[in-house]
Amino acid sequence: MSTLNWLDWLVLLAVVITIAAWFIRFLRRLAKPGCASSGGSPASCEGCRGCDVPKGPLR
Amino acid sequence: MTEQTFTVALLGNPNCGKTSLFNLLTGARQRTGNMAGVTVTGREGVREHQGVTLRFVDLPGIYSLSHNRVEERVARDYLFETPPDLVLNVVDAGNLARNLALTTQLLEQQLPTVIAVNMLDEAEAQGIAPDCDELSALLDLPVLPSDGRKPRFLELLLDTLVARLQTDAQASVLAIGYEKHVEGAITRLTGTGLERWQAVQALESGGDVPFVLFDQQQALLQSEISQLESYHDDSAAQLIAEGRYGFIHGLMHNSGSDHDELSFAEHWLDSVVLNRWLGLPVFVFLLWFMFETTFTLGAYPADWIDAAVSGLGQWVADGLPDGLLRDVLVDGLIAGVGGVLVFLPNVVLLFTFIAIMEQSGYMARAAFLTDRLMSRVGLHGKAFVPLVMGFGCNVPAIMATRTIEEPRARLITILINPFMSCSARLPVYVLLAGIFFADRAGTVMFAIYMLGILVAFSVAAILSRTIPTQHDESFIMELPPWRVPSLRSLGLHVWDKAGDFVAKIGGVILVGSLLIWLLQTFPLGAEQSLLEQLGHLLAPLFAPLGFGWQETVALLSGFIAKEVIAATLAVVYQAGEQDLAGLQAALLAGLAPAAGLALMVFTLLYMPCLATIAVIRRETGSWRWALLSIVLGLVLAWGGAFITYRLGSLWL
Repeated sequence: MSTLNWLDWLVLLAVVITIAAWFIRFLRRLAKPGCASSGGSPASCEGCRGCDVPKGPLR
Repeated sequence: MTEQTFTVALLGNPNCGKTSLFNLLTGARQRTGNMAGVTVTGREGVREHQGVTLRFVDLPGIYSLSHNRVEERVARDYLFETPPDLVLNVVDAGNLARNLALTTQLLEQQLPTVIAVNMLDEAEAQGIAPDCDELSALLDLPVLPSDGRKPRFLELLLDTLVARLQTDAQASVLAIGYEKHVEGAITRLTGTGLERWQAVQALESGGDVPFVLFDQQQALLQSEISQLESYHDDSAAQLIAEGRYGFIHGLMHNSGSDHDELSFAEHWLDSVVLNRWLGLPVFVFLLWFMFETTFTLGAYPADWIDAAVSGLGQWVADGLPDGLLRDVLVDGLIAGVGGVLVFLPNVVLLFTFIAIMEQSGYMARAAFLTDRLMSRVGLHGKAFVPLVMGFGCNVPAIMATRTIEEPRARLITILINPFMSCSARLPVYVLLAGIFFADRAGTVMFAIYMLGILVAFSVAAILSRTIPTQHDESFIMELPPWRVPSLRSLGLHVWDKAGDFVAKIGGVILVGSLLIWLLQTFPLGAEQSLLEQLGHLLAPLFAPLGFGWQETVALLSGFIAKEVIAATLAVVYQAGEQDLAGLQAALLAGLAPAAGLALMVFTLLYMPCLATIAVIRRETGSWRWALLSIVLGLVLAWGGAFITYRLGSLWL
C-alpha cells in the first residue's frame, strides 16, 4: 500500500464509494415496501418497472 | 380563463388495440403485445386539445364487467367508484360482435360513451368493416373509425371527444329485452331499490358487484339465480349473455356489419401453426431460427462495438501513466462494461424477434399450442406470458405472475421462472458458444434455451405434485387475428428494451466490474489477488465440472447480475487492451470445450440474481421460497454441469 500515490488513493476511494453506494441503495430499495405492496397503485409505487399488476404479494 | 380538465377512460377487449391508441393519444411509450394481459391496471396520460385537458386512463383489457377476474374487477370498480367524464370504448372492427358485448354493458350502466372502431384497415382488407354511421345512428352515440398505429383519425377522435364532453350530452340508455324469466327477476330486483343495470350485473356476476347489496337483496338475488337455473338448466349469466348477443346480432344485421370470415391466408397459417402434428415442430423451428439469427446477424454490429471498445481501451492505456487510474479504466471499466456492451446487438435482435412474435399474433397461438402441455405439468394457461417474459428479465416476469389468481399455480410459475433464460445470460452464451462451437453457435444456444424450458417444466411437474392443490381457475384464451407488426410499435418496444440493457450496464454491471477489478488488484504486490485466493478456495467445488478459479469467481460474481459473468471473465483474463478475439483465445487456452458447455449449463440453471431473489421473496412473502429457489438452482446447475462436462468430455 505504501506504493500508492495520492491519485491512486483517490481512485481507490472513488471505487469503494461507488460500490458501497450501489449496495446501500439496493438494500434500501429492498427494505422499502415497493410496488409489490402498493396494490398496483401508481401513487404508492416506487417507480420500478414492471409494476403493472393489481394484486399484492402471494400469502 | 379556467382550463377544463376531463377524464376519459379507455376500455375495450384484450387485443383490440386499446394500448396502441392510448400511446397515440398520449404519446406515452409502453409495451403493446398482441396477447391478452398486456395492460393489467390503469395507466394515465394527458393531452391538450382545443384548450381542454384530456386525462386518459388506460384500463385493463376485459371481456365483461360482470365476471370475477382480477382485470375485470379493476375496471368495474374504477368505473363505479370514480366514474370518468367519458368512456372511450375501443372495439376491434374484425371482432365486432364479441367486442360489442362489453359495449352493451357500458350502455346499460348509462355511462357516457364514445365508440372507437379500431383496426378498421384490417377489417376493410377482409371486407368485414362495419358501417360506423349506421352503428352510430342505431346506438345513438358517436361511433368513429380509429387506428392505433397511425394518427390518421386522431383529430376527428379528439374533436368528437371534446365536443361530447363540452355539450354535456346525456348518455344513451340501452335496455336489452332479456328472456321473460330473466326480465321477471330483473323486475323483482329493481323493486328492492336496485337500478336495472345493477340488477343485470348482480344476476350475471352471482352477486359479486361493486355496489352494496343489502341482506334482503342478496337473499332475493340468490333465490332468483337458483330459480332461473332450475327453469332453464342454464346459469343466469348464460341467459343474460344470450340476450346480449341476440341484441348484438340484430344490431350487426341492421347496420350491415354481420360478416365474420377469416381470409384464406389466415386460415392457412392457422391450419399450420395450430396443427396437432405440425404446430410444435414449427414452434421449435422458429425458436431455433431466432437464436441462430440472433447469433449470426448480431456478430456484425458486435464486431464494430468490439473494435470501438478495444480501440478506446488501447487509447486510454497509451495515454495514461501507470497507476490505479489507468488500471481501473482499462482493466476494470472498459474490460468489464465493454465486455458486456458488445453483446447489445444480440440482445436487441432477441427482443426484436420476441416482439415480432407477440405483435404478429403468433405468441398467442404458441400459448394455445403449449397450453395442454403446461396443464399436464401443473401450470396455468396464464403462466405462458410470465414465462415468455422471463426470456427478457425474470424480475418483471415474476411480478407478472400476479395475474394468476390460483396461489399454487402462481407459486410454481414464480419458482420455475428463473430457469427461463433471461437476456442477461445471453452474453455468456454468445461468448462461450462463439468460442467453442463457432459453426454451430446458434444451435447450441437454442439447445441451452430448450434445456431451460425442459428443466422449468420438469420442476413444475414435480412441484405440482408436492405443493397442496387449491381451487382451479378458469382461463379464456383468445386467438387474435394475424397482423403485420407496426414498425413504430416494434421500434419503441425494442428501443425500450435496449435502453434497459444499457441502463443495466451503467448500473449493476459497472459496479460488478469495479468490484471484480478491486478484488483482482489487491493486495498490491502479493502473489495472489483476493479474487484469486477466493477462486482457489472455492475451486475444488467446481473442479469436477472442469472449471478453473477464473470461472469459479465469474460464477460467483454472476450472483449480482448474470451479465457480470461475462464482465468478470473479461476482467480476469485482462481483456481491457485486447479485443473480443483476444478474450476468446485466452478462454480457449484455459478451458476445455466440454467445460465451456458445462459453464453455459451452469449459468442457465444456477441461482437467480440478486434482484430476482428479492422479487421472489417479495412476491411469495417468505424467505423460504427464495431460499428454495437458490438451493434448487444450485443443485440442478451443479448436477447438470457435471453430467454435461462428463458426457461432453467423451465427444468434444
